Amino acid sequence: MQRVYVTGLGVISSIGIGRRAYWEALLAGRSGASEVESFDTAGMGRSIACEVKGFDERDFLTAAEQQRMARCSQLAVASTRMAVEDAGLEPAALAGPRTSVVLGTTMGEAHLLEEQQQRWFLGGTDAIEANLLPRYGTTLLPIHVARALGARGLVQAIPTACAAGNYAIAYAADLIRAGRADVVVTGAAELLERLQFAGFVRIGAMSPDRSRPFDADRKGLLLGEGAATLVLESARHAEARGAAPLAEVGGCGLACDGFHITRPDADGRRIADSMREAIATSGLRPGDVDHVNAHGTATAANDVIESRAINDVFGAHRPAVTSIKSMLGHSMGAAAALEAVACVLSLDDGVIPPTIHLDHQDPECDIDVVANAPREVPLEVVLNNAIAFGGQECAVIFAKPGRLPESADPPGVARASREAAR
Amino acid sequence: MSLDLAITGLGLVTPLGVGREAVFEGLREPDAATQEAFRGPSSVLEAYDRAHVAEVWGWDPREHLGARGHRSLDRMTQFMIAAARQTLGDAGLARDGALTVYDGDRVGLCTATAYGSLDAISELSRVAELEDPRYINPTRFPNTVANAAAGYVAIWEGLRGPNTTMIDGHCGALDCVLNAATHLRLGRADALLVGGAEVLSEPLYVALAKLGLLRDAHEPERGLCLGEGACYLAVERADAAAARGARVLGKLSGYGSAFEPPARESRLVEASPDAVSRAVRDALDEAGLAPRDVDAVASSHADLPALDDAELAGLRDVFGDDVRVAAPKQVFGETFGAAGALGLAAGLAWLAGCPVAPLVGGGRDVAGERPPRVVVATTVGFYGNASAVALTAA
Amino acid sequence: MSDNLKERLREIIAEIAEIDEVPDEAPFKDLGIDSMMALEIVNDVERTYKLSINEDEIEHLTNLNAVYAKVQQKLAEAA
Repeated sequence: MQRVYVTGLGVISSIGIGRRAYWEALLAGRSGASEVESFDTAGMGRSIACEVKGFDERDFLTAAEQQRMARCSQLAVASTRMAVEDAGLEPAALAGPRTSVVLGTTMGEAHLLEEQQQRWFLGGTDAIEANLLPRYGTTLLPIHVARALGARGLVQAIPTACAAGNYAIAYAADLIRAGRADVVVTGAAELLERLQFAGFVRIGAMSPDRSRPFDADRKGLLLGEGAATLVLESARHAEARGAAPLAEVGGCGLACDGFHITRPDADGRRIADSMREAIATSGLRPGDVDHVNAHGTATAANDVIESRAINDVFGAHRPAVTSIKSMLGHSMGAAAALEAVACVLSLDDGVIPPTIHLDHQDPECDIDVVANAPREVPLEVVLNNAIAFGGQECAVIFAKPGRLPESADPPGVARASREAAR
Repeated sequence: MSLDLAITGLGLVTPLGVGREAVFEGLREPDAATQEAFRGPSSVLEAYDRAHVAEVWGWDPREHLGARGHRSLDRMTQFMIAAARQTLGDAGLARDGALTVYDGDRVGLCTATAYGSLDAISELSRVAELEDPRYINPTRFPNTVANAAAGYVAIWEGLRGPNTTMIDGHCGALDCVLNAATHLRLGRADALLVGGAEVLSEPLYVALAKLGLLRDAHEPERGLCLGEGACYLAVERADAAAARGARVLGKLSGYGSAFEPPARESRLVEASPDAVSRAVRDALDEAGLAPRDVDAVASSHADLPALDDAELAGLRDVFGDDVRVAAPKQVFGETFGAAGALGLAAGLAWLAGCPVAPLVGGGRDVAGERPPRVVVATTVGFYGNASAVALTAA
Repeated sequence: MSDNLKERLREIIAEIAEIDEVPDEAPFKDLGIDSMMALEIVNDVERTYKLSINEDEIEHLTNLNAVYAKVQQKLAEAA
C-alpha cells in the first residue's frame, strides 16, 4: 500500500490567514468571536460568530477567476494556492489527470443563493440576475480549484455537513492508496450565512457569547467560517521530488448513528466505533494515540457523548483532548478540515493548542482536556474526530511520517483488525 | 483489475412508478414510457403552466412509508427512504422492515444529489425574508444540509455503515460507484446502497428557466425537460454476493472520471468531449474491456445541444459509429444527481431484455438482436466534468 | 375567543405530534413529543400568533394547558 503524506497546508480562518498566522493564533488561544458584520442580526436573538476578516481575494486570484467564481470558491482557491506553495510545488506541477480535487462543504455558495432568492421573493423572477446563477452549485468548489491548478483527475464535493472535511480527506487518501491519483488537493470551505445562523438559533443550539467546549457552563456553539486545504501526495510522488512530508495520513473510520437527525445517540457507540476503526486500520492500538482533536462543538449533548465515546475507546490511556472550536467556532463543512490542519501542525511542532474558555470542566466530560494554555508534548499519532448533522461520523488518523506500520489498511481486513482492537 | 461488484437489488421512485418491476415494465415500451412520465400537468410546479416535466405523479408517502413519522421529511427524503426500502427488499437484504443478512453497522449508503436541499433552503429562506428569521421551522432546518436526507434513510432503515453524500453535478451518482467500491474493497461495509436523488422544485425550475435551458411552448424540440426521482442499487462484493447465493442483476466493472476545463479563461459553462472519452476509456480499461465489447451506452443526452454535442463527440472518439447510444433522460427527464443511477437502472433493464431506446446520435437499429451484455453509462457535467461506469451482465 | 384559542393550540399540537387526542394536562413526553417537536410547536405558535417565546420559557411548556397559559399571557402583554 502506498503511504499518503501531507506535504502542504493552506488556511483561511477567523483567527489568521495562512499556516503561520493560524498556528500562532491557535497557540496564543485567540478567539475569533465578535459581533457579526456580514449581515444584520437584529431581532435574531444572537449576534456573535467567528467571521473571517481581512481576506482580500485580489491577493490570491486573477481578475478572470474573481469574475467567474463566488466567494466560497474564492476562499477554497486562495487556501489551495497557499497549500501548494507551502508544499513547495510549482503551480504547473499539478497539471494533468493524476491530480484530483476532493472538497467538503455544507452550504457552498449559499451567499449567492440567498441574494438571488431575496431578489426573487421581493421582485419576482425578473429581478433574478441570470448571469450569476451559473456560479451557484456545490459542484463548483472542486471544479474551480481543479481549474486553478490545471488538475484533470476526478473532481468531487462531499457535503457531509459538520464532518465534511474529514470525509473529504479520508476519500482523498483512499484515492491515492488505490493508485487513482498521485496528488489529491483536499480540505473544505464554508461561509457564515444568515439562514444557517437563524436555524441554529431556532433549534436552541447557539451560545449568546462564547464557545466553551467541555465546560459545565457551556451554552451551545458559535458559528464560524473559513477554508483549509491539505496537499496529499503518494509517498512515491513526494519522495521523487524530494519533498519533506509534514505528516502521514493513516486510516479512517466511517459510521452513521441512524438515530436522530440532529442529536447524537446517547451511548456514543458509533462515534466510538469510527474512532476504533480509524485506529485499527492504521495498524495501531488505542494506546498509540497521543492526542484527539475533538469535534467538541460546545453543545450540551455533543460534548458529553463525545467524551463518553473517547473514554470508551481509550479507557485509562486518556489521550490529551482539545477542541479548537473554542477559538474558531463551528465552521460547519470546513470545521474538520481546519482541525486536520491543526492536527498536522501539532505533530510537526510537538504542541497541542488549548481549549479556551474552560473555567469549570463538566464532570460528565471526564477527559484530559488541554485547558486554556497550549501543552508541549512529543506527539506521534493524532486522531481527528468529526460528527455531523445527519448522524454521519468520520475519524481520521494523522501520524509522524514513517510512524505507521507498513501496509496499513490492507484490503478486507478492516473488520478483523477493528475487532482485535476492542 | 475490474471493480467486480455485484448489483443484487434495485429500488426506484420514478415518474414510471415505484420499484424495479414497475419501472422495467414501463421501459419495455420506451415511447409509451416517455408519454407516461411527462403526462402532466405538474402538481409541484402548478404555478407554471409551461412546465413540461417528468413528475413522480400522485406521490403519497403513506403508501410507502406508513401513516406517520414523515411529516417533516421533504420530498427528496421521502423518495430516498422509499427507494432504499425497495432496494433492500429487492436484494433480499431486508424483510418486513428488518435487515436479514448483514448487521446494520455493516450496511451503508452512498448518495448523490446536485440541488437536493434547494427546496428546503428556499422554503425557510422565504419565511426568513418575508416574515421573520425567528419563524423558520426547526424541524425543516436539518433538510437544508445535503446529507440530512441520507441521514434520515439511515434512521428509517437502520443502516449504520458508512454514509456519504456526493455532489458532482450530473455525474454524482456514477461517482458514488467508486466511493462504494473503495469502501467494499477495504472491508468497511458488506453492502452499500449506491445511487442518487433529485426533486422538482420551484427554485430549480425558476433558475433553469431563467437561464433559458428548459424546453417550453416556444422551443418544443430543444431544451432540458426536468425530471425527479430516487434510485439506489444494492452493491456487494461479487464474492460475497455469490457466497450468499444472491441473485445478481448485473456487475459494476469499471469507473472513470475526468475534468477538462474550458480553454478560455472567461468561460465557466462548457462541456468537454475529451473528458467524456477519457472517462469512458478509463472505465473500460478498469473493466478489462475494449470499445468493441460495448453493446450500448446509457448516455447523458438531454436535448441540450451544448452538452449533447460534446458527449456524442466524446463517444464517437471512443466507439466510432459502432455503438447504440440511448437517452434514458428522454424517459426520466433531467435528474442531475440521480441521473447516473437512473442510467445504470436503464442499463440493467436492457440487460434484462428491455429494448435499448430511445436511440440518439444515429446509433444503428438492431431490434431483435440478443440483449446487450455490456453497457456503459455516461454522465456529462456543465463545467467540463464527466464520469463513466461499465456495467456487465452477471 | 379563548376557548377557540385553546382548541386551535390543541390542533397544532395534535398535527405536529401526529396524534388524535391531546388532553389538557397530559405531559408532552407521554404523548411522544420530543424536544425537537416541542420546538416545532413553539415555532408554529409563535408564527401563527406573531409572538415571541424565549428559551427559558420553552422548557416549562410541558403540556397543552401550559402552552395555552403562556400564549394568553403573551397576547395580553401585546394588547
